[in-house]
Amino acid sequence: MSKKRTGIRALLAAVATLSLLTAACGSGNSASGVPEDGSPLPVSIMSMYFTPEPPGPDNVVVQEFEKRTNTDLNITWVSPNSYGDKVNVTLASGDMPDLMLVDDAFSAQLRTMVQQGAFWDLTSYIDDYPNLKKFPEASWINTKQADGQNYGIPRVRPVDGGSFLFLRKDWLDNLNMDVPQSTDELYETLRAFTEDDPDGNGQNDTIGFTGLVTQSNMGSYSGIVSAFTQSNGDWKDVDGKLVNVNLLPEMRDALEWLSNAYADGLISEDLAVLKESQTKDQLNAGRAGASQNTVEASWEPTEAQRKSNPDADFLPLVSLNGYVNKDGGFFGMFLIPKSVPENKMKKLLELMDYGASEEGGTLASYGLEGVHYTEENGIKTVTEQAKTDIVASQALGQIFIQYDKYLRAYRSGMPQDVFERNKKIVDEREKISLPDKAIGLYSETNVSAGPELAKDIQDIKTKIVLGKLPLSAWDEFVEKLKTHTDLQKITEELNEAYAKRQSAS
Amino acid sequence: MASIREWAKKLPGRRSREGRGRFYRYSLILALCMASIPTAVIALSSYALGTAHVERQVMNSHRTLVERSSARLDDLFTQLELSASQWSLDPRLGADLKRANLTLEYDRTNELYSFLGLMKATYPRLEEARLLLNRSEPLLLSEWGGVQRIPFGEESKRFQNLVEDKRDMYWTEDFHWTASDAGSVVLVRKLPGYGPSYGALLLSLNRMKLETFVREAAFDEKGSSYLYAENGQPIIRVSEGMPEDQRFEQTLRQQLDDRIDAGASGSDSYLFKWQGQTYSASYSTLERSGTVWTYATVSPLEALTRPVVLLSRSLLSVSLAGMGLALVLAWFASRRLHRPIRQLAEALGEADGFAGHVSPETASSGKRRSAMADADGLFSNRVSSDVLPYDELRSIENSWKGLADAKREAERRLEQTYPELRAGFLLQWMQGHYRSLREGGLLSRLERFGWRLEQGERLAVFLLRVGVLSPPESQFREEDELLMTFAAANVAREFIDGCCERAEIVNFHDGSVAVLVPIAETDIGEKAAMKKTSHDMADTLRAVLRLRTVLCTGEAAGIMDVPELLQALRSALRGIPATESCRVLHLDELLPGTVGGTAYPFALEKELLQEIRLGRTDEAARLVREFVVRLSERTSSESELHEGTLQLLGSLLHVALENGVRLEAAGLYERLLELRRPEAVVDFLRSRVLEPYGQELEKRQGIEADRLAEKVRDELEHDYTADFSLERCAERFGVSPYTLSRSFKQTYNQTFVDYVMNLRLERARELLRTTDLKVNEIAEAVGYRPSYFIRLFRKQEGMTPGQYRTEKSG
Repeated sequence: MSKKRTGIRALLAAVATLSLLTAACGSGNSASGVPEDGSPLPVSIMSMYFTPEPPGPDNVVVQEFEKRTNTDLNITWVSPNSYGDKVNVTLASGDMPDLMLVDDAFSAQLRTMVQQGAFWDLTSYIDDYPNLKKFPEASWINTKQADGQNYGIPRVRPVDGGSFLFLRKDWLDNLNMDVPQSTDELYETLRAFTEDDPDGNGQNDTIGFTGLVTQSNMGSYSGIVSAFTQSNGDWKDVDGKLVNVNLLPEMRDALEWLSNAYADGLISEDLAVLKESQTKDQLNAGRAGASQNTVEASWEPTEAQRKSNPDADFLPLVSLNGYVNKDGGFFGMFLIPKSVPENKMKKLLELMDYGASEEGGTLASYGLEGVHYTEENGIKTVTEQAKTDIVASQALGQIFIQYDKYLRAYRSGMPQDVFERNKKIVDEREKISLPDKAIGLYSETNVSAGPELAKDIQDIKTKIVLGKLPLSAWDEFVEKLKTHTDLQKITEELNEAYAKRQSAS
Repeated sequence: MASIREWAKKLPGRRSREGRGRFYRYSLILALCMASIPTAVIALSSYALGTAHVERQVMNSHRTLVERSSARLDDLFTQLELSASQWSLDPRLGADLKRANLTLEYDRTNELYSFLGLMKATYPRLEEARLLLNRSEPLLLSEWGGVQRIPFGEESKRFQNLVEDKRDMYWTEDFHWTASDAGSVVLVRKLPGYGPSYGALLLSLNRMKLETFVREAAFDEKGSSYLYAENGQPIIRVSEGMPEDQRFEQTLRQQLDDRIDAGASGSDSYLFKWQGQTYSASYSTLERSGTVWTYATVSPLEALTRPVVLLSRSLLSVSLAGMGLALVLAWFASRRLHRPIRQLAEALGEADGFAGHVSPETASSGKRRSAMADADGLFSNRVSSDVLPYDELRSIENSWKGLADAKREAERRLEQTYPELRAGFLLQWMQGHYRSLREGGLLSRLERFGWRLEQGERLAVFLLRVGVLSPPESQFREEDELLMTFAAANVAREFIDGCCERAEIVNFHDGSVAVLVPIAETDIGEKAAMKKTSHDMADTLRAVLRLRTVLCTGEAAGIMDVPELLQALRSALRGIPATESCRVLHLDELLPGTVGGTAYPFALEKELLQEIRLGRTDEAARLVREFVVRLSERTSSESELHEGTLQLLGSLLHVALENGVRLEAAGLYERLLELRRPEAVVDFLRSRVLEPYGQELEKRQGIEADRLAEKVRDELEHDYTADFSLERCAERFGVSPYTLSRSFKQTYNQTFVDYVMNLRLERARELLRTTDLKVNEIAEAVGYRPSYFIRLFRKQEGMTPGQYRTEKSG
């Protein structure tokens, strides 16, 4: 045993020495960081994967990607569960890869390092890369740092089609009702879903809306609340100034609506202790008529229901009270440390640009046509081989992404008509959706006192919805909140940052 | 042994067994056994000892390992039990939960969620930590599944039963969360830790992770591990590379139960045999709260004993291969070793025509005979001796004994006939039959019969004749001449042995006996002694036998003169009147003129007639001349000469007739009477008698010889491979070897042996030229042993048969 262990140690030592040597040689090769003899450009990347296993270095698609871009990719795959910790450790160590994904684009540590000039300011370069330029404006704007510059390439996400209400269209049809446009109509719809036996089975076994509230926010009910406040997130731009939505009378209306719905049994009875899995179970079992999720996620309960009920159809709402949310358009971003020479930095941007092209994006997310996917009517169907080879948008597709605004419209197995309808919904939402004004704004007080405050506020809200406290209690609480020193401070700080960013763009 | 013989029969080369017998076979078998059996013994013993040892060692180590593994398992379960006890005392799970409204007291619920989540995080092998609140509609809390209400009915009953169990903490091995769920292993800890229970903490183990754990704890990748509940249900079953047969496990469990029931709790190892395979089974019992689990592992021993089995097998195959090799080597070696024996056997077989020819014949016909034995009772005696297989050494021994016997017999016969031969020889000699021999030759012959005469020694000859006396005195009658002579000879011998060392007695069987005494030439005193001796002898004979005894002594200058002396003595004796009963004469005292009383030279005539008998006419002619000259010298008158010549002619014609030649006798006697001169008589006898006789004889003999030679030659050419020794062939044609050989010589101008050899070689040359037969086969075809044939051929042709063949066919 001890012999074996010594052997392993010796091996490790040898490998370490070897890697040091090669690293030394590599850096000594060229000052520009780009091989002059045309040999593949070595690129180290850190990213996360959502597949059961990360792709290995001998992954066929990774190798194909290297071949097409003349690079030698050394990708460190990290599980999403521990990604935050890994980022913190890597940033602290200063030994950073050429391209590093940070999941939280505005963490305190990152802000500090950006201020210290640890990363390349990419703002002036991006115009040269047409595919990157195709990313939605919001993605770039929302990832701007405190100084209004872009220090990272956003891991782009669609801005429209995000989490919002969806409901049983077939039940509406059964009850001869129209798709609700306002919160009042929604109330009536949910009442009918609960009381009027929408599934026609003669039993009182349905509820209108299933969803949970968390300990710090409204959870599944945020869409309904935002429809009242007409604001995405906790902060609303009122005459150029950010105001906390909890102080607005619309919030009181929303709470009144919710407590009535709870009292009438239209929404989940145990919403405060409910689990995500339970809401899904209810939707899949046809017990609930509405909930909240992204556009394409509404296909999941539809698919489950259609096994027993072919008419089942969950319809994502375009808007409620004329409101629908617009997402930030990113989920973290890729940083290039300043230690990378400029020439290489440009090469890296070139690489990311190729990844954002149709060819590169398709290769990264779907692999090779005929081997990993087949395409028909613009819909790509992945093969079993793709699973075996670990080719998926959940793996290499997390690094090299071609922006597709309909990403939230499609899910595998979805029929063409549903896909087309979802695309229309995304298009409709694009016209009216509202972004979160406070994204990326920094408030020190918010970091320290914000979570506790949010929890207190949510506790009052939950109690009011559950009927444990009367609505008047909310009025008293708002009065107190207006003079809450922490909240005042946060408001000030955010507005300051907001103004700064406004003026920069 | 019988099977080995059967087996040996199937071997290639078996066909050529004729030349080799039992000794060869036994030595071959012995060599084989010596070479191969030790290896086979090593192989078998290493198999037996090795596997047993490995099995014992494996069992020992498995016993230790299973204890260690079960200790690990026990640790896992014990820790969980301890933790469950601790958690049950946590204030979050206090008695007030009994009436808590989980929906409204959502903070508390969330706290419980995270507590349950914490439990799960603490024990990765936990599938889920659940909290059961026993109400009319039981509530089930879990971090992942939230609050679940169990509707009243069958389902709720099952959950309520969990709480209603008397034990505070226990394991249930097969609990179904829903009716469709697979059974789980659940640790039930009733809540709260003390006081009346409102519910229970349900910690279910992740079966997959548990299996992984068991697999990790297992010490043999190939083996199976089982964890059985008290009721025999398998909780965990990790079975890899084991028979996919339910009966396998049933049998195993049966044995386990038997052992545990027999009080052998704790842990133990034993050998488990199933369908010809041996497994090492180990088990250990785990005392869980309220129940006993059994942890058992089974692993095939094959993997461990395989090297030993492999080694044994390879040794065995090596020994088999060795046996094969030894077979080949022993075959060669035995051939080499056996060659001298075979050659000896063959030589002996040739020598007495017994072993070489008879034995293989009997050996090969033995089987046939034994098959016939039932049918033919006559053979039964021979069969019993013949069924003994052919054994070279025994046959050599037999041959040797036979030869020795033959030698003894020959010696005995020789000894018996020796005196007769000797007497015969002396008789013939004295009667002048060996006139043709020289003195030296005669002397050496005499010497061979043990009678040595020195050069220049004279011989004193006593011829004594006995006769019947007047009746009152004599015991013998006239007819008893032979007996009388015999008695006289014996008495004479006794007498002469007393005084002379080298005296010889010759019995003529006609009443006369000669006594020969060698005497020194010059010794005068001797003569006187001789005379006295002769007188004494005569007196003795007269006195002892009471026979008429007349004796005449004479002296011969050499042995060649003895026959003539004998004639002279005889005629001297005839001159003695019959009235004298005892008389001794001395020849040298008589007057020469009166010797014999007749002029006819009998001795010469005898010699002449002998020559005639042998057909040597030239010699005969010389003797005729001598005879006639001698006769003419001795005779005084013409009529005496005529009488003598006529007598001779008659004798000649008589002898010719004896030899089968009938000469024209008419007028011969008359013609002879007309001749006066001795020369004319000689010429006449030569031209009219000897020459015609010689021609006739020659002609007849020539025809006969030709005929015989031709007959033999026909026979030879018909079957030249047979054994044609001169003697055998002569025997076959009823002639003497000498005659046969001479006739061949006369007819073909070569000896019989040369003729046979040339004939065979001619045939062999032809075969070499015209056929592809092997030299050995050709040699045998023409009746030679190959080695002798090649040697002979090279000597005759100046090249080997092979060279001859390439030269002639090339």
